[in-house]
Amino acid sequence: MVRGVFLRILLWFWASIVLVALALELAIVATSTPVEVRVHRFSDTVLTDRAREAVAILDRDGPSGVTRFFDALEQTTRIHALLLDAAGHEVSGRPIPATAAGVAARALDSGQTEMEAEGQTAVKARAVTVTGGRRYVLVAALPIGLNRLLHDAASAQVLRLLVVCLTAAATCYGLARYVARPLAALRAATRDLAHGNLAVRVGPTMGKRTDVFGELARDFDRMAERLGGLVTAERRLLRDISHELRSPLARLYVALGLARHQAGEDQAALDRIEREAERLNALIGQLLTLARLESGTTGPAREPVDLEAILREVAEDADFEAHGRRRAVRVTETCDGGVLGDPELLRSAVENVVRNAVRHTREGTAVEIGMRRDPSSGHAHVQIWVRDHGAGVPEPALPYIFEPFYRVGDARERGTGGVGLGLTIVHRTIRLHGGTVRAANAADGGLVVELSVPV
Amino acid sequence: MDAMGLSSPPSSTTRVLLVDDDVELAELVGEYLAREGFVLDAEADGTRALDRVASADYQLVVLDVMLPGVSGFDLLRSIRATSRIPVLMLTARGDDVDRIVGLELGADDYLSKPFNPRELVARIRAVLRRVQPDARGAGDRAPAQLTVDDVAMDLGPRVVRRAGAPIELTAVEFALLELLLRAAGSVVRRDDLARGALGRSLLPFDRSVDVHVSRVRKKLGPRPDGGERIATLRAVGYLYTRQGAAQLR
Repeated sequence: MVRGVFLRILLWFWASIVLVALALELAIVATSTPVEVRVHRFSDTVLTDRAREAVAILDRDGPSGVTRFFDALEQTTRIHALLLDAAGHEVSGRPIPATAAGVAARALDSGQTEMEAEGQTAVKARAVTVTGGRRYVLVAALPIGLNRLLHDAASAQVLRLLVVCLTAAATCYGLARYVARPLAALRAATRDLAHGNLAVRVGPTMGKRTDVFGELARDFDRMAERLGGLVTAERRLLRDISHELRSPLARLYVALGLARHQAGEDQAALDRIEREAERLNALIGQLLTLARLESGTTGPAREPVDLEAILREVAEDADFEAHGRRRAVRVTETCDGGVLGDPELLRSAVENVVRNAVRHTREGTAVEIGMRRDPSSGHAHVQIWVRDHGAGVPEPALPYIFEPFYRVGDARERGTGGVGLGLTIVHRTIRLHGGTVRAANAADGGLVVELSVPV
Repeated sequence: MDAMGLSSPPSSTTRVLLVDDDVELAELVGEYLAREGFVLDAEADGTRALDRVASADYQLVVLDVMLPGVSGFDLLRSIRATSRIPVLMLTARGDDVDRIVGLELGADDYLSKPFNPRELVARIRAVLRRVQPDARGAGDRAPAQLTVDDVAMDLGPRVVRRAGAPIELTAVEFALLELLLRAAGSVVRRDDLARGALGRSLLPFDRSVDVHVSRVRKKLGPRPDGGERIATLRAVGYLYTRQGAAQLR
């Protein structure tokens, strides 16, 4: 993640600087003046030497020799040359372009090197006087501008670009670090916060930065602080309320027992009171469990858990319990299920789902439980599924059944004894373990709940 | 502090110490237990509770592990350091972790709070039956000795020795081991262990027996030949293996 941001910034800035340098280089080359050409390339001496050489070949081998000489020159240096005599005739009889003729005439007159640029070509001419007072003019057409790039090994340009690349890499590295580090720190902190770590702060990693990143970091810290305060207060309240409710409830139970002693035969009203007290007690218990899960600042324990063993034990216990109500619980498939996590929490999650299923399956039917490697995750998850044979849940209500106190229908739930937090606890537990929970209606009726936990 | 105002109980009366900071609850429980023939003293302070336990006036301690200030678990550890008095602990309902920690620290059984007082009486009686063999009519039976390999159990003075060295077991652990030794070589169902040693059936999702057995296992250590003394048959029960017996998988 951090590397990603850093690399992207680095490469973008570096690429743009290099591209700008490249464009600049091309522009400079394309618009370079002929003066440079005269100064740097095919200097007077070279022209003079070539001219004398050509005349010597002419004297020795005749015009065809000159033609071969110029062909060879063009092949090795990309310079197209002609040799004119004093009357302005090409010695080998080749055609003379108008520009070449004009420059040659000027060179004969001035005795200096003359030149003229024409588009991407520069034409240079230099007159020489050889033995016997004969005068000749060598006219050379040199590629310049962009043309030159195609014809030359432009080592200077390559060197310049290389220097730009390296300098840009160094400065962009610094720049990318400067931008990416605070970004990465903020990003990590945000994720941490999202995972429930309200104690996370980015200020200390920023040092004394006073720029926009420093500001952002301080704003983030203030936000986390405030969020943490609110959440902690809420959780503490929930926990305290639950704990405080327990004490009067405990006294109520004992007082109820004493009342039973005195009531004699007629226990009906007391039975009712006891049932309601039980319900209240169950609710408080689940609230406390939920509060513990939500306060998961430390995360669950990470010890090896044998899910298969848990599944079998829960199934056996639940089957025993369900028999009293003419229902059954069956395990239909299992696989090896070693995961890392909190065994107590995972057990209670499985237990809650199974109990929920037992509550809702029709009389005379069996709740089916299975466990397999989750194929949708590439077998990196163990999936526990629990299927009942009840009325199922209306499709629109499915996403909400893991919400606290969500009731699909008043009539459905009230008779079954659930207090409305079991599945919420399941959901939080599995999420705390990095897994997912899914509920769906089976094709032929009944609810299927799938718990997926990473191995 | 005789919270219940019951003076000079006859010596045969069972005296129970309740360690709980809820004074009103203690009064109610005292009243209820009095009808069942127990005398209950309440103590809210952990240190004083330790002194009272040391005074040996009590046959059983009911300990609320959710005491404010001092941790009930620390108190339990302190009690176990000096005494094998039966301890019934009160835990938060649904708090399996507390429950298991308590059992591992040597509590004999637990009850989640809020509790039904009938259940409290039943648990107290069940735990006491373990430590008062005469109460279950075993007094007329000659003190017997059970020996399996290097482990010898004296039922009279209730002493367990491994290769001659005594091993400290709580009442429930002693009862569990007795059941397992009597049936050595064959499986004892978890529920039978619960009924025999805890005096009650297992509740759904109840792991008390498993925690107690694992404590016994830890205290006894492996067999001289390195094998596991008590084998687990998952979801069925436990089996005390004899030396040289094939390992159960």
